[in-house]
Amino acid sequence: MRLLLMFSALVLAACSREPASEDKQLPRASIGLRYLRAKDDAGFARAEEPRALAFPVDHGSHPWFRTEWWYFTGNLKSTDGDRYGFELTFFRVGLRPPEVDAPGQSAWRRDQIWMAHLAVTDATQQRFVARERIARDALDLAGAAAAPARVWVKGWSAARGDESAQERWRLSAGDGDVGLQLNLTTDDAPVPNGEAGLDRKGPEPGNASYYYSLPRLATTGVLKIDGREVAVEGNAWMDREWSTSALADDVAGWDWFGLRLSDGGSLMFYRLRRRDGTADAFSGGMRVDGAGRRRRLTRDDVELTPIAYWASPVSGTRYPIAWQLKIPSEQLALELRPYVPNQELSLSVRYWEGAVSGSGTKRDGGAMTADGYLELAGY
Amino acid sequence: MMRLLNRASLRFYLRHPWQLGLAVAGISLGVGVFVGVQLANDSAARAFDLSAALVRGSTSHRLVPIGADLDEKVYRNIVIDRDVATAAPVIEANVGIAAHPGLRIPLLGVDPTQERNLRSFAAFTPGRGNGDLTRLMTEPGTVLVPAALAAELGAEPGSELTLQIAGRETVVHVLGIVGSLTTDVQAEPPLLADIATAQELLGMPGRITRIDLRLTESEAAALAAATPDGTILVREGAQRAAFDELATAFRTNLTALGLLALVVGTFLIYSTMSFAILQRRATLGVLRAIGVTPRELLSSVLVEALVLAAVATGLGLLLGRGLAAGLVDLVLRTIGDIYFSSVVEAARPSPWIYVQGAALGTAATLIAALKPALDAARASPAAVLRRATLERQAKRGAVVAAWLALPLLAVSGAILAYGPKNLVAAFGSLFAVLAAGALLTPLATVALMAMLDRLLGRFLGLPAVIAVRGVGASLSRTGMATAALAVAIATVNGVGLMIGSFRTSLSSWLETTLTADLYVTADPTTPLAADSDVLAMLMEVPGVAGVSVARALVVQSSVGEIAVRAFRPGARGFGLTIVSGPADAALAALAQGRGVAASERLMFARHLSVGDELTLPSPSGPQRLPIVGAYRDFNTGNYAIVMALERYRASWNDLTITGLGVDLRGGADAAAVEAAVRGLLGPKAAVRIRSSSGIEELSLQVFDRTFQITEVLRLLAAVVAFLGVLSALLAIELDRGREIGVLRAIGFAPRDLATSVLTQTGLLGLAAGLVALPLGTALAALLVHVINRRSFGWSMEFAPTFGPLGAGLALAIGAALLAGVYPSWRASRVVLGTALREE
Amino acid sequence: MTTPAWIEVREVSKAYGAQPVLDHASLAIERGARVAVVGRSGSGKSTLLRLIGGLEPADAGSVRVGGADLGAYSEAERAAWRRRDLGFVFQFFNLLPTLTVAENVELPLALNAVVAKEARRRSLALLQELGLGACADRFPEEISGGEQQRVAIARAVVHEPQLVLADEPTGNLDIETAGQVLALLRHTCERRGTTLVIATHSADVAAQATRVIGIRGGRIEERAS
Repeated sequence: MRLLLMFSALVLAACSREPASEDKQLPRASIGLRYLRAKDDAGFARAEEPRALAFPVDHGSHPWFRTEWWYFTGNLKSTDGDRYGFELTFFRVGLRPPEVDAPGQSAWRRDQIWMAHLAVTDATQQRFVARERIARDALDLAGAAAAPARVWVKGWSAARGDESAQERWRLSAGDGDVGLQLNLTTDDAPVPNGEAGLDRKGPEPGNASYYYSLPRLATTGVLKIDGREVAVEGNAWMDREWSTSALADDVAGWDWFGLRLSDGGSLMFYRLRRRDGTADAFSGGMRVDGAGRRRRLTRDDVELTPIAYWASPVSGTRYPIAWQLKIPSEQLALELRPYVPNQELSLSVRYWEGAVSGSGTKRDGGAMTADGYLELAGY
Repeated sequence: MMRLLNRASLRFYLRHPWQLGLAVAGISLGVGVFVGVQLANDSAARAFDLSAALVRGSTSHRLVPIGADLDEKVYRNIVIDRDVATAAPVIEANVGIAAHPGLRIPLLGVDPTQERNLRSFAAFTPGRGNGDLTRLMTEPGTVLVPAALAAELGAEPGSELTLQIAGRETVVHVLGIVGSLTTDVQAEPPLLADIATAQELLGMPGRITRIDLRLTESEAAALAAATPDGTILVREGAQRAAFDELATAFRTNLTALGLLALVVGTFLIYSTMSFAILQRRATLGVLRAIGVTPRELLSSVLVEALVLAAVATGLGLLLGRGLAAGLVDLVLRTIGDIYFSSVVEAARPSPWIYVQGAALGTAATLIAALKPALDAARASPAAVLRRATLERQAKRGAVVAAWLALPLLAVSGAILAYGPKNLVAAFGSLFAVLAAGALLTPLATVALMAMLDRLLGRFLGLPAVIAVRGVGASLSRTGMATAALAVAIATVNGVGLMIGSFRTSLSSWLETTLTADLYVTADPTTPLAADSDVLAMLMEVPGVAGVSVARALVVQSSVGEIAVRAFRPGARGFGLTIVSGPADAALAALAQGRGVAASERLMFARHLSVGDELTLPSPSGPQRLPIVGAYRDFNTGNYAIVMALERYRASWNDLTITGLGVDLRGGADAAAVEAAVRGLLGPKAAVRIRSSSGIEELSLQVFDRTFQITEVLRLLAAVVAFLGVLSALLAIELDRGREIGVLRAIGFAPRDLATSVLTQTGLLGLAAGLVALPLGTALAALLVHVINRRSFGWSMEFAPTFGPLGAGLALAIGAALLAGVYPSWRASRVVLGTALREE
Repeated sequence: MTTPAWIEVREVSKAYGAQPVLDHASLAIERGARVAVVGRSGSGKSTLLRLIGGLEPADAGSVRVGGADLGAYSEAERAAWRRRDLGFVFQFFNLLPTLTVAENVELPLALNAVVAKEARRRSLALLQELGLGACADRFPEEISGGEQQRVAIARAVVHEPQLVLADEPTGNLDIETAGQVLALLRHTCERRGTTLVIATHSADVAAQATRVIGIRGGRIEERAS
């Protein structure tokens, strides 16, 4: 549920060197939140009712909605057993709905702005590097295609190999001493979150997104960090979400968990954090067990307790980077810890998104392990 | 022991408050002027650096077109194919504002999404009109307006602004005001628009002006090795080299003037300290007699100087701070004229300047006090030096000093001949000449007085002789003051002569250069398409005798960015003053397109000589063009070359023009011709039409404004010198107290004495003024032939006139007479009894 | 006193700050007299001379010379009077260092608008008379103290004033030279009928006077001559 990492605000944030003092009082991601709550959505479609997700078409762009993203994260290992993590994300924001016609003569007069984030984590060296690219969709500098699905921002891209049912993605991004070239495949079908893909984030109708995930993509390829290239393999998670407005006014941020469990299943859960620190009623998630059975999770299905914090020397922000996660109905208990404490992306939008792993117990008292990504926003 | 000595010093100054005051004033003024100039300088430099940096941001390079502009696909090529992440497309053109005819401001079209890592326009800072960025990108015809302009036009978010672009009037909507940054710099960015809007407004879809890049050295090398066709990679800042060098030279000149004030101030300190020692020579003799060691006397005087320096330097820093407030506007305006830039507000200068000023002031004081201190230490314990002995020593000193001037002059000449050909060396030479002049002054004064004694004594009688002899006889007191006055007046003369020569040269250059009667100019970013039909029709306009055609553009040449003026001359030729040898041959070669003429500024700055080749990129490949001659160019803009229009068209395939020169027949109605020209070019053509006399007038106005600060500094130097003379005269008159008493006793009336004192001070002024004549002329020659040349690359005719020299002489005598007013009043008021009882 | 008084000091008081020097002092001197004023240092001798010479004003009382009230004169008138009728000899000679001996002597003549040539002639003649002919073109610092004082006397009498005031004229000279200078001063004045007032604390000097007065406690008292 990365939706809320919204960046229509990126136009603001991306273009300014320093936030003005009035904005310094708020965490940066809040600037994004402000946009997500924007009421001036005239002309944009809203996620109001469930719809049938169609693949591979829905892998492409939905410009009638204000915001959209393609989110790839993964937990990988080198042949030496060193652990790595990666994030490659493409965000799209519509400056206006596509039907507004103001053609002009300029190729630059376009409606979409794209932003991509690339981050690589090296658990052994305790290194984390994050980069950013931004472009408007002019001159094919950035954009999305549907058949076969492809998104790109300047030289970075995520592309589906063909239009077959089998998910095969190729990720390619690099910036100097950091980069990745990865192949992702799975035979699984995408998992629609929420109510058949409609994921409500607030009481107001339309404060929702369309949201699906591919929790377990077998991944091989090469990562580059600090100029070192490493052959890696492991699993990746793909999240897709689009919406126009989603957040209620009293939500300050969220903690998102995307975990692959040792039972062969997965767990996605987001806790919407209200300003008073409590979990919002619309917090929720999806549990897929080893047999592929899905179960929607609501706020009260999951107990979350932070067990370690880390303060960013850059932003001064204090993030809860390690958690105790319990699902009492399953008697599942996990303790999650990050590969590296500092996985803060201090870019146009500032947030913490990092590779984590965990271990604990399940219903039969047996051991359960997990790996995946944790996203902390609005701190 | 030291405590007692110091107490004695303190009481001495308390008893002679005016002496204390003058010593303090000397250092304070010197330090004040120096610090003031430096502060103003630094503040202006920072303001310009910062405003340039603001527009430039952290851009390291620019990819610029060889022709007029770039295909926007080049940007895609750079970003995608070459994977350069930090690259921003830019469109820049000057536009007119309908409500302000004649005002042209830059319109900068950018892609706001690409600015984060390059620039930090206040416009993109959240806070002021922040929500407008989405609208800026999506709504055609929207702009952000610089605050200063907004205030001038009364524009505010939501209002409309009518721009004049390429002859059309276009209404744009003001989305927001480009406010200030959070730093203390108030820089005014240009009118900002989204790049799409800029393309649409300027009618250049698919084109951009340049690409701003931030590259590492290796990335830059890789890109430079294979730039996209029709482009070259330029290091950021290189294109401002001509401006920066000019502004730096200007600031160096100001610094030198500030230093000069400090030097004159040092003279003042020296003369005050010397006199303070002289006055106490009896006391010092006694102290020596009772066993005070020379070392103790030396340190006592140095401590005295140090305390003086501390107090006076402190005051000087305050004074400098106040002065800077006034000077900085002048400096900014002058540099603004050099840059052709909008006025920016001053930045906060470096606090180090205060430290620098304090250190210099203290050092100057100690140096000035060193000789008096040594004199004090040498005070004979046996007997008080007799005044006569002292004066004899002073006369011998004057001779020695005059001899010392010779090696100094030799050094000065050697620096010019063999030293590095830079500005610092030139100023070194200039200061050596000034010092030599100062050293020669006492002897010259003695000689002058001896001559006057012989000449005037016969006619004016003894009172005059007393005055004349008094000058020579008080050399120990007057020598330094006269020297200080001479140096100051020489500076005033020299700068005056230089400005006069410059103005004369500029005026005659303008006359040569302005070959036509009416000038029609279009902005180089929006040239006119004037085909031969238009020109033929122009020739048909009644009253038009001939037409010259010019295309001005800026290119990245092998010697950096230069302004090219491709010119098809009218009846009166190219209007170039060739300074590099035979003009006819050079002009013929130029006309035939066999090469280019280069401005002497370019020649000087890039160490070029006739015959060297310049390589200019052109759409049909690099053009190697030999320099056929150097011409005088007083423009402060870019380094420039001139070539024949046909030569330009042959390689650039560009038939547009940016300028027309119209020759009028005798008796033609200029206004009617102007109207006809406007009619031919279309009523709203973005051109400016000016008469050659109007241009001349404007140029001279700018010139006068440029030298305003120099005038102010001249005045300050004169004030410092005036104080020097005042201090010396007071010293003399105090010393003459008894003599005045005697004169009164034998029947001199108070008025006679006042006259005598005024005569004496007038003579001092005369001596200084006379010395300043040749010294000032030498200075002017140095300024004209060396300093200006090295600073600005301008050569000019050295045309000394008596005007400034006469004014300098009058100033010297006037200052001296003015300085004599108080001493003469004092002399006439002297209480006789007291004066006579003083032994 | 039957001869009418030429110099008339009447009830004159003078103080420097809080220090009274003369206190209602009165004195009359007849024309052509040679008067010695004696007294201890600081007794007011010099002050009395400066009052008579109009060099400074009295705090109270009047000073008349030749019937004219000096106090009623303007500063310019007093200067004109001094230039014409007064010669002054100082203890420290006070020759102008920047003028030659002859020029120093010419100075009063120049002030009285005597043409340069005539002034030169007269100054040379007088210097010759005083035995200083050889020194005429030297500067004061180049001759001895005795010679300097003789030049000072020449300067004091060259314009033939009616009154010569001498303040300790021998105070800075050795006894022998002092005698010579004093004799010269006396003869010069005698021959011209010039009134001479000498302030001194030397008995030898006083002995040359026709009249000796003393100052004590700010009052003037006659002494036996």
